[in-house]
Amino acid sequence: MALNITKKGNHCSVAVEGELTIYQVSGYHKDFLNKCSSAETIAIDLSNVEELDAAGVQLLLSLEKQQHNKGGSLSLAGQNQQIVETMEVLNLSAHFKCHGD
Amino acid sequence: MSDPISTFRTEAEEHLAVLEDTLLEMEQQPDDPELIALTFRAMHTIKGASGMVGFNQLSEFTHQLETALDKVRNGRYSVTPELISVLLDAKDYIEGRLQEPEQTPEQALIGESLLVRLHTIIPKADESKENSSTTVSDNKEASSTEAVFRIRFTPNQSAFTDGFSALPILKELHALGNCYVTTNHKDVPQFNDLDPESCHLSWDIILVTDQSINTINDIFIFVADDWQISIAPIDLDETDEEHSDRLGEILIERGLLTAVQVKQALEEKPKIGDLLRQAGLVSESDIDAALLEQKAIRETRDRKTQSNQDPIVRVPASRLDKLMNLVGELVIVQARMHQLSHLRDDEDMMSVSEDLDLLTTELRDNTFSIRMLPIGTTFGRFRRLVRDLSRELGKEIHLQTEGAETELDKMVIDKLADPMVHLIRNSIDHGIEAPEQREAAGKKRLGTIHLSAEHAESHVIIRIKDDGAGLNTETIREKAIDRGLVNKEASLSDDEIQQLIFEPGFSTATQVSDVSGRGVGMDVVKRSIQELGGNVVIHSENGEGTTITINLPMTLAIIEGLMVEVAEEHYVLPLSAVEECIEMRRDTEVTQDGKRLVKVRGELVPYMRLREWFEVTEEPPAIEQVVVTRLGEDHFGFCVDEVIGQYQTVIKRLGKLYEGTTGFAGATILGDGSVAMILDAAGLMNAVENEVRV
Repeated sequence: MALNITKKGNHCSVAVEGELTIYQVSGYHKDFLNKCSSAETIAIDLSNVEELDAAGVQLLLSLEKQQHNKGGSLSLAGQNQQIVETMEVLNLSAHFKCHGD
Repeated sequence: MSDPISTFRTEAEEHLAVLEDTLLEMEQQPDDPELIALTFRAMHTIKGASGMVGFNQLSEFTHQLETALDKVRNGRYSVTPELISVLLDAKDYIEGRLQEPEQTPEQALIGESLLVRLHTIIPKADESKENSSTTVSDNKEASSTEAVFRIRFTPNQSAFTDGFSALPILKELHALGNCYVTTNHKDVPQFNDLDPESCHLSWDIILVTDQSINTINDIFIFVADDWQISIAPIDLDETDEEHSDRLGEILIERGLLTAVQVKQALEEKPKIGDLLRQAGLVSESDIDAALLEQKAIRETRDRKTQSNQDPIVRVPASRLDKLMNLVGELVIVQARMHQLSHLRDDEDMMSVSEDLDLLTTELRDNTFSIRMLPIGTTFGRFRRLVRDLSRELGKEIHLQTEGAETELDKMVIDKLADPMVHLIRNSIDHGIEAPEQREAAGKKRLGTIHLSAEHAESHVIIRIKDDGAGLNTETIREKAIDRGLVNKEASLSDDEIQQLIFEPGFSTATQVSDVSGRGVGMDVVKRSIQELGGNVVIHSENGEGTTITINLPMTLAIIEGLMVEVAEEHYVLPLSAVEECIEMRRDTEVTQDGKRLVKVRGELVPYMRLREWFEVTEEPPAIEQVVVTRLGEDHFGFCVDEVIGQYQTVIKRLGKLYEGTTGFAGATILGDGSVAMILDAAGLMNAVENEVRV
């Protein structure tokens, strides 16, 4: 379980490995705050996420909200089967901006 | 408080009745999806209910049937006559199992053999779905069993740390049907302010499903205590504010807008969604979500078939009887008031009395109509009877009904059931011939029994008509002579001879069949019908068929009467039977063969003297009245001192001591408190005629 964060100027690239659930959200929250809080654009690669739960989705929603309020952006990529299904169940598939692989 | 098990039994019996009717209809229309759905639903309900009251073996049994029916419902198997037969037998079996939760060894055996028969027709597939009580339904057709629910739930803040994720719940909801989800995240704080482990999400869902609200509730079972959950069916027929599909209102309901904002936006013409978006009042995604909801509601409303059902309320019969009794008393008191007001010649009081009269009449009509049921409920029974019996006897018979919506007092319907069963059995057994015989006689193979019911003034006329062999008048006549019922020389019309079959002990069947018994039936039938204040007449054409006509008063409780006076006592005759009143002078009496006759417009009508019947010794008045009545097909007159006039009142039953006395159908209390006996016209007529004959 890891969060690989690369910062380049105003842009933050994040790759999530493993799970994005209640167990990780607290830790990841801190990581994001430390490294991405001032980024204008954030791109999160979820292709290696094995499990996504409501807490994980909430984390993403919260980040997205903040970026939006700042006038920045958040985009998601690499959505695998799990992610796609979860987003559909929650009817949030259209909510997040996506960027290609 | 009513005992749950007896409630279960009552309701199960109702479901079984519906099941039987539906199965019989399905035999004629095996492809009708509505009928299939109804059958499934009835079985499903019985299964659930029996499980709930501890009738576990029954629940198991019906579960097997339900599973099989589900496969038919999904189109994997079609409805065949064999399937219907086994389901009808299963219905009988279930009926028998309602008494005791534990089955006897015999019952177990029968149950097993039924299931074996069932599984020969519809095999038991893999039972992997057996534990789930829901079926994943992909098909997008709205059947009449679908309902729309709005489900809103808000987990508590510690939901995540408590180990609950909304995802599995949402997945289960998706499995129940078409599910339109909105994930509300407006309460989620910005990232910097977020406590990631506390839940700020809530959900708003529209679910279109054929599952019950209980199935939905079950999904939330573990979180019901801690989460805020609201599950409510949406009535698609309501167009009031609560469930309006108008976008603005949905947005207000979701707390995204205030009514004022909507109003302002509406004052301009363009589409509200655009306006609100432009005004920055609501985000695009909020509008999309609300539009989704609107779409769901509209789509389902369009597809859903309307079933027009008046909600039914269940009332114990005894309460209804009590109510009717009170209303009856009210009518009597009102009559007294009426009389008193006239006696005192008090204008004001008379006016109040008239108002009271109007109200009482309406109250009375309404209350008594509560006990009116359409006779179709009885007709339904007969379908099964005709089907089973005709099969047993190797005959092909079709039952037609007409006027099933004709209403009758419930008690009348109940008492009518047995006589009618007997009459129909007769038709099937003795009336309609075997198919070969019919063909030989130039008739269609398929025999028809036609049941009809209609209103005629305050009477109901029920006819049972078959196109069978009819009565053999000669045989009847001979039999009657044999039994001394008829004089060899007497010339009787065909109709009169046919009526003889209603005499006790009469049966021309050379074989006493299992089906219709020893001919003890017909006279009992006649008596039952007379007890209801009606009469029965038979008419038959040899070779062509038989028609039995039953004539009944619509309600047992109220009489529209004609009040007459005999020797200073008052009596009431049923007004509906009265045709006319003629004056009679003593010197115009005629007797013939011991019968009293009076000339009425050229015809001779038999009559009786009530003074004679009541053994009044004083001298009668010089001028008397004869009230000519029509009872069934006969005319009969009643000679009285005076005809007072029309009188409508409640029939009071005679006490046990007097019931069964010939000639009296009850009594009534007059406005001045005195009692008037209600005469049983048909009974009197028969008594007099029999007297003469013997």
